[in-house]
Amino acid sequence: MNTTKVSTKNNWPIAVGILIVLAVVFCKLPYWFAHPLAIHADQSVYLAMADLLLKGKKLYVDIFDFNPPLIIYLNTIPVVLANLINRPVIQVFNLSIYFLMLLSTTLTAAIFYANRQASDRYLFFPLLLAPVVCTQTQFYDFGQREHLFILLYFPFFVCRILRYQSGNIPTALAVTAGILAAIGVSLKPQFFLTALILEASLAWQWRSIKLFGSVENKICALLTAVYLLHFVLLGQQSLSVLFDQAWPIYSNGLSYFHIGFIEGLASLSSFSYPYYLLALAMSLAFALQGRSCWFLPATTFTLISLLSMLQAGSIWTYRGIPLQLGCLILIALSAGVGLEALFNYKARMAAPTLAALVCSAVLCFCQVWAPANTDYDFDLAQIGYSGRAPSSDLSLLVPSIIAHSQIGDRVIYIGRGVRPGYPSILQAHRHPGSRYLHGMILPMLVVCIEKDPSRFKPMLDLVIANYGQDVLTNKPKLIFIDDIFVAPLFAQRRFIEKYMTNYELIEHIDQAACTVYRSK
Amino acid sequence: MAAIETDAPEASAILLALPPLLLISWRLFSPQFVFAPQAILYLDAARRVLAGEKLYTDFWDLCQPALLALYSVPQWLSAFCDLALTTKLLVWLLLVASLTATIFIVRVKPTNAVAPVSSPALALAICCANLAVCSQFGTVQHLFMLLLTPWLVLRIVTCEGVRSPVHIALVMLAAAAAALGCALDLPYLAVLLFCECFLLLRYGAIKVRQLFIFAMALALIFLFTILMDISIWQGYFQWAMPLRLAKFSYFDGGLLGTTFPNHSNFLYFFAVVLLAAYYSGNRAQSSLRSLFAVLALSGLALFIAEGDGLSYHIVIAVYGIVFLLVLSLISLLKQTWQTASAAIVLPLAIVAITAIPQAPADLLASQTIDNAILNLSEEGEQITVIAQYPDVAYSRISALQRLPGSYLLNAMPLRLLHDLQLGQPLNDKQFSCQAFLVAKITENLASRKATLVLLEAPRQSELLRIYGLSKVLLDNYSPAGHCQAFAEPYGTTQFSVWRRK
Repeated sequence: MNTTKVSTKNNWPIAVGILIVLAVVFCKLPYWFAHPLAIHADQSVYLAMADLLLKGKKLYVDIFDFNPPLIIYLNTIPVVLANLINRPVIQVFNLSIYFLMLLSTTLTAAIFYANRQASDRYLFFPLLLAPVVCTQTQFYDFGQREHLFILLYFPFFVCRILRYQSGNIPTALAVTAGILAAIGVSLKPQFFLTALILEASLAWQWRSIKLFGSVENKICALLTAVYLLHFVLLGQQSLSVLFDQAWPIYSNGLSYFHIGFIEGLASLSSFSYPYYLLALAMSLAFALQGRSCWFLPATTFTLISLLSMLQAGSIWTYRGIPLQLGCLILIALSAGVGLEALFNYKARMAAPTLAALVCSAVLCFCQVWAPANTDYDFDLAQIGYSGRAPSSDLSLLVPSIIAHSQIGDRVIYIGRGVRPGYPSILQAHRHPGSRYLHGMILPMLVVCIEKDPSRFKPMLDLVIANYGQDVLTNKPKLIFIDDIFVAPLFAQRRFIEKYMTNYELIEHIDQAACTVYRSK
Repeated sequence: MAAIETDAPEASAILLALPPLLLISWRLFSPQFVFAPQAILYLDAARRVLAGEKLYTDFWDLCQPALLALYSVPQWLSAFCDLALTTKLLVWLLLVASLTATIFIVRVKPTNAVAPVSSPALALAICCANLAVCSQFGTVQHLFMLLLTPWLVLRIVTCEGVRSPVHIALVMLAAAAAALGCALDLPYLAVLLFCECFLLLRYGAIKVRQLFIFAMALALIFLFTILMDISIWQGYFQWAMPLRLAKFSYFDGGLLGTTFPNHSNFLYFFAVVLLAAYYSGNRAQSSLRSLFAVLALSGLALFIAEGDGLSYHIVIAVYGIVFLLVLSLISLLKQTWQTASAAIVLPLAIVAITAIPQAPADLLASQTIDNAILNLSEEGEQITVIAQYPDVAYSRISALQRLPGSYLLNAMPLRLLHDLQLGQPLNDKQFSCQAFLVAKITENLASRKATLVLLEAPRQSELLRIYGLSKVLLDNYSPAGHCQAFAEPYGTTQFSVWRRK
């Protein structure tokens, strides 16, 4: 890597850069303190699963899910912390993600600091902001697996490029980056694939495979291998459910959640956001192609993430988070190139650069700034904690759950998806009453049966029988049954007559299209 | 590729461009070729203009006045020849003109050592890009691309050179064409400015003289349409433009559940081509490729902003990405393949990859709109269409020799105003526009000029009820059943048919 002496007269930009990074990092911290119950479906269900795991339940047998278990293991951290300090687990989770962002930013900053003499040091501050801005713009998907992936992987991404540039990577930092990346890429198979393609792209760019064996790569590969090997320890019963039920159902039935591209555009304004970002970022990348060796890996990451998002084929916006990060990296790199031009007094670039920087700064602050809700009308004492929260953060079923059950009671929501059962049950500080914390398996099985009835119909019967068994064993206080999809399916199998004789119908919730049953 | 490096690049350009150009000509002039419904809709609107009707007074649409002026040319010439043939011929001539102008622009090499692109490669890219969007010929975005291409190439040639070596007449021609292209629809100027921003960032300088000529040409077009009729512009600025802008942030809930066309496959292709182009380009030789990548990206953003997924809204993106693909492939194949094989394989590969989804045969067979039109109206009679996605109806009306008689060419503004009203009270301009449209539609239906009314069901029926227009419909027309047509974006569009009492 080329190095040049840093002029002392240029120290003020570093101070300004640090101030901007700190402002963007901390500007949303008050929001998460003021919203102790703000969480969305997937994140909350994994917290509930982590709680069950800590209580000794067996993965996939007593806690059913389609995903690899690492996300559940990670969620045990906020659950343990929340129990220790007696705060809502949701708040501790959100602050944990915030802490992870701090950790990721600090680690990246430390790697940059070690390379502060580098010729392309002007890229560093804008780059540092990319994952921070990406994090601060997340509401629904704050703490999703894709979000964790970008936070965990970003220091590694920086580390690898600097390594190829012959940068100075202290071993401790490389090891830490490797550990974090191993956790990140193990969350989902496509993350591992993204990292692998990026590694190949770096080798292609520098025409060298010698650096495959760098310390951060070794650590990352070792820990990923250990994670893969740990599946053996899960036990025959868990593995049997995972391989014989969960993954076949997932691969055959996920199309239930697939939607057309137009439908995505029409249903959700945030669906189009990554595409606009892509148009801007890739245009900048083409305009400034060749100005920095960082553009090629960043473009690769962006477009691979786009392919990954397209492959998901659903409206789940969290699938677009890596794409958002890729685009923000490209925009950051462009800002960095502009900064360099500005500080090198390249007069002809000064005006457009300044304009681009002002626009980027305004855009950045507009994007991340979120005033906290001032209407704190929900008393946390209702769920066993002190303080207040905005009721607008509560999910649909919370009022009903609080009205008809006590803290710690078991509750089941049987529907087509995770929502609105979760986050309602977690927000109300109740516990799950079934191994199926969400009902995604039911519509997926219906799709599977269309493809292969002889294989999947017995599975559907088994799942419904398991639900019944859980009702009889766990005796949940409340059972919410989806009126549109689940009720007819259960009626065919006389579920209520068989398993819910001890329950009374207490209300219909129109907004959630479900019926509520309470134990007598 | 030997031909690309020959001493006579124009001859090579013709040689390379010929196979795809012949393919295009064969498809375009075959009797089976039907223009995309959007082109038919605006051709008919142009007919009404030539017949003395005024935009925003006698009929209403969100389009710009210059668009109808352009579509008026084939309509005017159709007095001497069949309209379809005239239109085909004009589109073909425009394509050839675009191709020729571009070849002439790159003919004069810039003064620096590295030429941005050779004319044979460019000719092949233009033809392949047009081949890829062949089914959307004559649509607004396609015309825009034909008009814009010489300008983009001119800008790259100029930016790559120390000074502009292109003849001033050619510059003026390219600027005028680009200005006309930008005058066709509101966001097109933004697309051009986006490309100019790319050039500014890449080269750090603006070639002011060319931009001045472009601005003058745009101003002249504006002045020309003002002189034609200033009241049209009043209608445009007061009502149409604000609504057109509002449409970009509007999400049509009626599209939930729609499945056709699914552009996901195109997006995969888009991502892979961008990635390959980025890898294959080095800064010195990829400026034109990069510019067309930026064009494709702005086309994608525009397609997303339109929000309805219609195929004629993705033409810029398809054109740009195929252009990029061809230039990247030529660069890649330069050392390995021969000209002839490239000239044959490239267009075929592009057609195979980028074929825009076609209607499934069973759904086409189930169309009953033709029966309804044929059985309930006579040739030359007027038919009113009230639909948010009406293109297919205009296509069939035109094919069956009837005349559209709708006041609102597309009922989208009514839906838009209604949905905007649900969020917040309409402002004065929106409110006056809404009242004006409702009054005019009432007048149109009460006049009973149209023999038939095709009402998109059930969404527009519901909208008519909300606006209190059902009564005037019932007073003047009686229900005559239902029909359906295969069309984007619903797959099958249902119409309720109303016959004059």
